[in-house]
Amino acid sequence: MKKRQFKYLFAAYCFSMGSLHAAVSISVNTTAATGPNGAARYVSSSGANLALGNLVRVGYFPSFGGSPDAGQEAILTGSDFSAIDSLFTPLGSENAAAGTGSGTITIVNPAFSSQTNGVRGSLTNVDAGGAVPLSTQLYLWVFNAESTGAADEWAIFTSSNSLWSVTTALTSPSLTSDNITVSYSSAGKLDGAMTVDGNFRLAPIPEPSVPLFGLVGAMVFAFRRRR
Amino acid sequence: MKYNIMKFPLLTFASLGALALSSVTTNAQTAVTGALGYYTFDLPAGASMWTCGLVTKSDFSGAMTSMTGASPNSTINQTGAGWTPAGFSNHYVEIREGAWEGLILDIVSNGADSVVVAGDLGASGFNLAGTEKYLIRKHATLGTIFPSGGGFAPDSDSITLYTTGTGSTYQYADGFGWFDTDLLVLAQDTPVYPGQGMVFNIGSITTVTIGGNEVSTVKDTKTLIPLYSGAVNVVGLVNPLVTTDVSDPIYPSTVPLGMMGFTSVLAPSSESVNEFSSDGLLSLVDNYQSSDAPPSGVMFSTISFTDKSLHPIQIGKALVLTIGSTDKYYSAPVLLP
Repeated sequence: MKKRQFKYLFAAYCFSMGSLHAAVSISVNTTAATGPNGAARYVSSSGANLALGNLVRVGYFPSFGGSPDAGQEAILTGSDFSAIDSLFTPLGSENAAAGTGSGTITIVNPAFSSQTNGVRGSLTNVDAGGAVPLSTQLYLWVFNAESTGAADEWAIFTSSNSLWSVTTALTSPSLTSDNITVSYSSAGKLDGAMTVDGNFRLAPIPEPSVPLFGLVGAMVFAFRRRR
Repeated sequence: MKYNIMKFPLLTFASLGALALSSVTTNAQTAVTGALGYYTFDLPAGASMWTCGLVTKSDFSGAMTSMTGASPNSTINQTGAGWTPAGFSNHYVEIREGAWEGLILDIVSNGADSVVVAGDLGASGFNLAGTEKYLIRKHATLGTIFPSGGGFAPDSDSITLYTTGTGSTYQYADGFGWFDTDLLVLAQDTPVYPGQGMVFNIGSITTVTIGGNEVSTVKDTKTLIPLYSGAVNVVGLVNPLVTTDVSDPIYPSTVPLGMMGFTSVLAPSSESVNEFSSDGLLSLVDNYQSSDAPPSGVMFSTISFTDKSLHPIQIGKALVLTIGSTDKYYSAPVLLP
């Protein structure tokens, strides 16, 4: 009997070593007025529709801890692309096969949507529970150009809705604009993420030289006063 | 690869359906004898998802005399029922009419003329009238769906049931029955709810037998299947596999995706259905969502952005539903021929 019990224990141990997970997809949608956000779209800071081919990146950032996560917020609301990008783990973008997922995010894809200027698309081969850990909060980083280098506006969106996170190894997240609750940009963190016209606005990226020169000038001025 | 071989030694599938229909007449407060039915199909090596297409016979059918709703448990009163007290262990109540038709409620206890169920049936809960028709059935369990292991290799092949994100895994042990591989306790009586999917993990090609003893009745009513936020909702229709002939016009082996009732439960362009392959690899076949407009009510692929309403889903195959932050119910339709 003891031998048999050991056999079961061993079998259970072996099984637990190989937990089940599969490659799932992540869809990106701009929905009609079905949720709390209504028929919101992603638009430039001036309210213009995004152009076909503008860059949309899907991925995640590390948490620095705390609620709210002040460390993460400080970086995501900054204007230093390199600082934000170095923390960003891309799962995919407009460019196929970027990141650990693959697929295409298409701007202005009206298929099966009333949103003629919406963002629709999907990523496949997302290894939920494997390369992408469970409980990963997902983010949508939207730019107003076809590449990060050409963009002069962006915003980062996410949601407290469970559809915006990798919750299990067999379910597919859906980054639907209707459920966005937070946006980050140089304009700061917006809980609720809405703007006055009901769309998700990108924010201009401040010229890094302006605050930098200001800081240097202030330091020189302070140094000279001490002398 | 062989699928969908259905065997009803006593009755044909059509006559089984007729028998089941006759068993739910109003106020027929007697037990109904189900026909012995079972079916077998070959599973590939690896992982695949399936539902059990059969349920147990009805032990009672009637309309409530009255109901007292409360949280967490409610009481259904049935004057003159004459039940054996505590006789409905591991049974459930199935509501048969009204807005909550198909709702499954676990029985907590019962007296001679009353049954206590888990859930608030009152105004702050499901808000039942208290006169609804209902059934009482014994839960189909791992031990009754797969008696003697059902063809699963002992101590090796496994079944995973999900009610959370991770699920619980079970194996069959000769001489013991089904046991929980994490808790290492016997799990013969673990319920498999109507429409609840099961993930089979098989070492080599295996012929699996579903039903044949207590679990042998064709369910002829729709089923409300709970969907939980953040969980792996593996669900499917409660229909037995019926034929290997895909061209059979009477007993089809597939059902169009658009007829499975997902458009009425999933938030359009947001919540989704994952279809995984049944070849053992459990690779993603496609991800489907309900369109918001136009045309509304269409199940489309979020990968190819094409209309998939007519996409055939093999009967018996389970799918994984991803929902948002609010729990809800999927109403699985009846697709008896």
